Amino acid sequence: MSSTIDFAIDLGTTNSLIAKGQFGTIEVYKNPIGHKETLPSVVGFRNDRILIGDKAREYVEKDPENVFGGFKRKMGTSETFFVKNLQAQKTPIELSALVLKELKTFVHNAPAIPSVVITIPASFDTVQSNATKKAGYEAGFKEVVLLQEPIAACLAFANKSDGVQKQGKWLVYDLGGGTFDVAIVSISDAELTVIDHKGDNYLGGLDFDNLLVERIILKQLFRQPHLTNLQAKAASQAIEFKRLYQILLHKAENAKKELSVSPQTEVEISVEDDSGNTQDILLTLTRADFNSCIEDKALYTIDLINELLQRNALATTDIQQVVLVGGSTYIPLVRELIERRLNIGVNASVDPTTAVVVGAAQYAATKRAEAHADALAQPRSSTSTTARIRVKASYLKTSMDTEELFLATLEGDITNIHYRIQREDGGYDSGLKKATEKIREYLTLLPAQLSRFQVKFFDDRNDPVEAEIDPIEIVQGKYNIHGQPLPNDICLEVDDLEERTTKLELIFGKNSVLPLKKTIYREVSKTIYKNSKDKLIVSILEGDRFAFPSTNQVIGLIEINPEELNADLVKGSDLEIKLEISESRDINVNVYLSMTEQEFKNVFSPSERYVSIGKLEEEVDILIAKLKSELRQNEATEDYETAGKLDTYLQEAMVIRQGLDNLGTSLNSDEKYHLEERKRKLAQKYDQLGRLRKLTAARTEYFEVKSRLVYEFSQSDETRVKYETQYKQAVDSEPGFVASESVFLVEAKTKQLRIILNDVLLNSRDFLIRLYYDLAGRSKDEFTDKQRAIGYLEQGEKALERQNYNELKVINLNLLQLLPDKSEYVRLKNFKGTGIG
Amino acid sequence: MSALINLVNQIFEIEQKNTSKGDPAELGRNMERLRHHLDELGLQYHSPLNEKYTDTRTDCVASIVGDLVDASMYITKVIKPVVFQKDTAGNRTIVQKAVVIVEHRTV
Ligand SMILES: Nc1ncnc2c1ncn2[C@@H]1O[C@H](COP(=O)(O)OP(=O)(O)OP(=O)(O)O)[C@@H](O)[C@H]1O
Ligand SMILES: [Mg+2]
Repeated sequence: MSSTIDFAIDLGTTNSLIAKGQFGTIEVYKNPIGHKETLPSVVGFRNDRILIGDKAREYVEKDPENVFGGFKRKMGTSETFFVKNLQAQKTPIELSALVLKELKTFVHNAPAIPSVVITIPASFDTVQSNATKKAGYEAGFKEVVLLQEPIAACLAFANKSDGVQKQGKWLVYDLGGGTFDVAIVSISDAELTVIDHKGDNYLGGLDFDNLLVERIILKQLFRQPHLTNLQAKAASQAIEFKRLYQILLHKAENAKKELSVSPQTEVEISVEDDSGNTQDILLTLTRADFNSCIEDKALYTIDLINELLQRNALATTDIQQVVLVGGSTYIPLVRELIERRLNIGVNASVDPTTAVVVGAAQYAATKRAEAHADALAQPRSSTSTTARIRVKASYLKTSMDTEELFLATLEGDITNIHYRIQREDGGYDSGLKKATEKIREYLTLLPAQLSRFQVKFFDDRNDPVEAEIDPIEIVQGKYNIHGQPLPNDICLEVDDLEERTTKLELIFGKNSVLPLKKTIYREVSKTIYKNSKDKLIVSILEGDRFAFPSTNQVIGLIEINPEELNADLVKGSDLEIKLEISESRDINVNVYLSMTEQEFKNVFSPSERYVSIGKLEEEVDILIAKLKSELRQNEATEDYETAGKLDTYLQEAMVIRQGLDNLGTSLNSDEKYHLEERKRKLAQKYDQLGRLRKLTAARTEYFEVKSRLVYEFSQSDETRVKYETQYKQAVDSEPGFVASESVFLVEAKTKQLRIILNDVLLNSRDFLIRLYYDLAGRSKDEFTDKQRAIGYLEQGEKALERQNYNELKVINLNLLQLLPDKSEYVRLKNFKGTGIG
Repeated sequence: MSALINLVNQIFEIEQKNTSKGDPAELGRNMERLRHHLDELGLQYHSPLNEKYTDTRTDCVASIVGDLVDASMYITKVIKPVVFQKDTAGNRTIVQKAVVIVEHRTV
C-alpha cells in the first residue's frame, strides 16, 4: 500500500474525472461503460433506479423533477433538490457524493481508496469547501484533501513545460462546456497561490454550439430552395423541427471541433423538402463563420480578464503566460484573442480537458496520506472466506424475447446494500438499486447470441461487497422451439488445386437451427474463357464435412456454362455465393460474379436431386484412381482382407463408369440419378472402410514428421531460428486438428510440416549425402529412365568428391523425379474441378 | 482504432443513404461485403432504429425530443450506430455508443 494519497478527482460542474498518480505517471481512468474519461456530473432518480453520468444527462431537460445537474453551483447553500419520484429532498452534498461514488467504480486496479484529493473552484468559500469535503466523506473516503482548480492546472503545466520561468504570475484561463473561470496564480518554488479570480457560470462550449446552429447552419439551410415547409415548422417549433435541431446541435459540435484544426468543414443534413422527398444538403462552414458567432462571447472573457488585472493593479506585462484549461480553449480564435488583446504568451502544452485532474493527481502522488487502506482492508479480508451475501438466482438460460426476467433471493446482511447488474459488452446497466430480500430485474438481451451479465453489490460507500454469484448467461433467439436442427453438415465443394481434387468447405454445421443464411466470398480458381468447355460449378452438398466430397449428396447445383458469361472470367476475380435455407428446407442459391456483374440464382427444393454428368464422371474417375492405388498398397502389405473389399468396390466403380459412358445412348432419363446414387453409396463405403485406419495413420505420420523436425531443430540452432515461426504457425492449432475426425485436415497439416522438414533436410549436408547413397544403392531398374538415372548418379559421385552440396541437392531431386511414386498423380492430370478456389 | 470506427460510421452512412434511395442491388452487395470484412476485423455495427428506449440502455447516447412518456420511448433516428469489437474468444464490447434521437410513440 502506498503511503501517499495518489488518487484525485476533478468534481466539475458539467463533467467529473478521476485519476491516479504514482511512480511519476498519471493514469486518468475511463468509464467501464463507453470508455470515456469524463463522467457527466448528473444524477437521476428514475423509478427505483439511481442513474449517474451519461445516462442521467439524457433526461436532464426532459425529467427535471427527478434528474439533476449543475448542483456544484449550489454547494454550501441550504437549497435542496426535491425528487418527485422519491417524494424526498436531496442535498447538493448527497448528489455530489453519488457522483464521487460512481467515479470510484472507474478504478479497476485498487481494492479501496482511503484518501483522495478533490478539486474546487477558486471561488469556493469555507462553507462551500466544507460541503465538498463532506460529500467526499459521504462517498466513503476516510480522508479528503481539497485543492483549487487553477492551482491543480498550474501544477500540470509546471511539471510539463520546462522552458517557462517558474516564478512570478500566471493566468489560468478555463473555458469548459458551461462555465468560464479565470484566475491569477502566483508561482514560486515554495508555493502556488491564487491571488484573485473571476468568472461567468453561464458561458461555454454549449453556447457556441447553439450559436453555430442558429446563426449559420439554419440560415444557410433556409436559403435552400423548396424548404419553405421547414421554415414554417421552425417558426411553430413543431416536433419535426425540434428533432432536426438536436441533430444539428450534434453536427455543430463536431463541425466546431473540426474547425479548431481546419479552416473549413462540411456538414451534411438530410431534410424533407416541400414535396416530401428526403434531400441531402451539404453546407460548407468556414472558421470565419464560426468566429463571427462566438467573437462577442470570446471578447467578453477578455474583458473579464482586464477587469481582474485592473482590480489587482497588474499590467499584462506582469503575467508570464496564460495556461489554457477546458475543452473550449481548443478554439483558435480564443487563443488568438488572448495573445492579440492581452499580448501574453499562451501555453497549451497540456490536454485542456484533463489538466485539472492530472495536476491534482500529481499533487496527490506527493501528499502523505493520514488514513490508511488497512483500516478498510481489515474487515474486507476477514469476510473474504465467507461471502457476505449469498444469492439464489433463477432465470431462463435461453430466451426468445428481447428481455428476460431475472429473479434472485438474497441471504445475509443486506442493510444499506445496493446492487447493480451490467451486461459485459457495456450495453445494459441497471443503475444502482437498493437491495431487498427478493430482487427482480428485466435484463435486455443481445439479439441471437449469448449475453453475460455481472451482478455486483456495493455498500453505502460504494465499495464492492463480496457475494456468491456466478455471472448470468442467457442466450437469445438460438433455441427456437420451432426451428429444426440440420441433420447433416451443409458444405460447398471447392478445388484443392495442389491435390488436383476437390474438398469440402463447411457452410452450416450439423445441428445449426433453420432458417440459415450465409454469404461466402471466394475467388475463381482458374480462368474460364467464353469459348472454352470449362464450367463453373457451384455444388452444395449435404453430408459429413470430413468425408470425401463424393460421399455427400448434392442438394443444390448451379452450373455456369462459358457461353453464358458476358466476358472471360479471370482467375482470381471475386465470386459471391449466397446461400439460404428456409425452415421448410428450400435452398436458395445465388451466385454473383463480380467481374462480369452477372447473377445466377436458383431455388432448390429438397425433393429433387441434381446431377451433373460431367462432374459425376470426374468423381467416378477419381474414385477409381484412388481405389486402384490403395488396392496396390494393400496387396503389397499383404492385407488381403482389405484388398478383397477394395477389389469389389473397384469392380462396382467400373460398372458405374460403364453406365455413365452408355448414358448418351440411354433413353432412361432416371439413369443418371440412379448412377449418382450408386456412386454415393460406394464412396461412403469406401470412406468408411478407410476412415479410422487412415485417421490413425495420418495422426501417426503427423507426429513422426513433427518429432523429426524437432530433432533437427535440436541439432542446429541456425536451422531452428530460421524455421521457428513457420513451424509454430503450422503446429499452432494442433489440439484442434489432431482431435478432429478429418483425415484431410491432419494430412494438410502434415504436409505443411513436411514442406518445412524437406527444406530443412535439403539444406543439411549429412542428409544430402545419406539420401544420395540411398538412391545410389537402389536397383537401377527402379528408375523410370534407367539411362538418365545412371547419368545423374555419375554426376553425383563427382559432386561428392568436389564437396559441392548444392549440386548434389539438384542431382538428388532429379533422381527422385525418376522414381515412380508420382505415377498416381499422372492419372489425375486432367482434373477439372469446380472452378472455385 | 478511432480511424476504424470512423470508417464504420462512414459505411453506416453510405448504407443509410443507399436504403433511403431504394437500395439499388449492386450497392447493397458491396455494403454486405464491407460488413463481412469489418467482421473479419472483429468489428460489427448495429442500428438500433425503432428499438425501445429504456433507462437501462447504455448502448446509446440519446437526445430526447418532445414529451418524455416512460415505457413508450422509441429510437426514431440513428446518427451513429453502436459499434462492437469482438475479441478472439468472440466476446463483444461496445467501442462506440450509438448517437440517437428518442421520441415518444404510441404503437
Ligand atoms: N477541439 C475542440 N474544439 C472546440 N471545442 C471543443 C474541442 N474539444 C472539446 N470542445 C468543447 O469543450 C467543451 C467541454 O470541455 P470540458 O470538458 O473542459 O468542459 P467541462 O469541464 O465539462 O465544463 P465546465 O468546466 O464548464 O464544468 C464542450 O463544449 C466541447 O464541445
Ligand atoms: Mg471544467
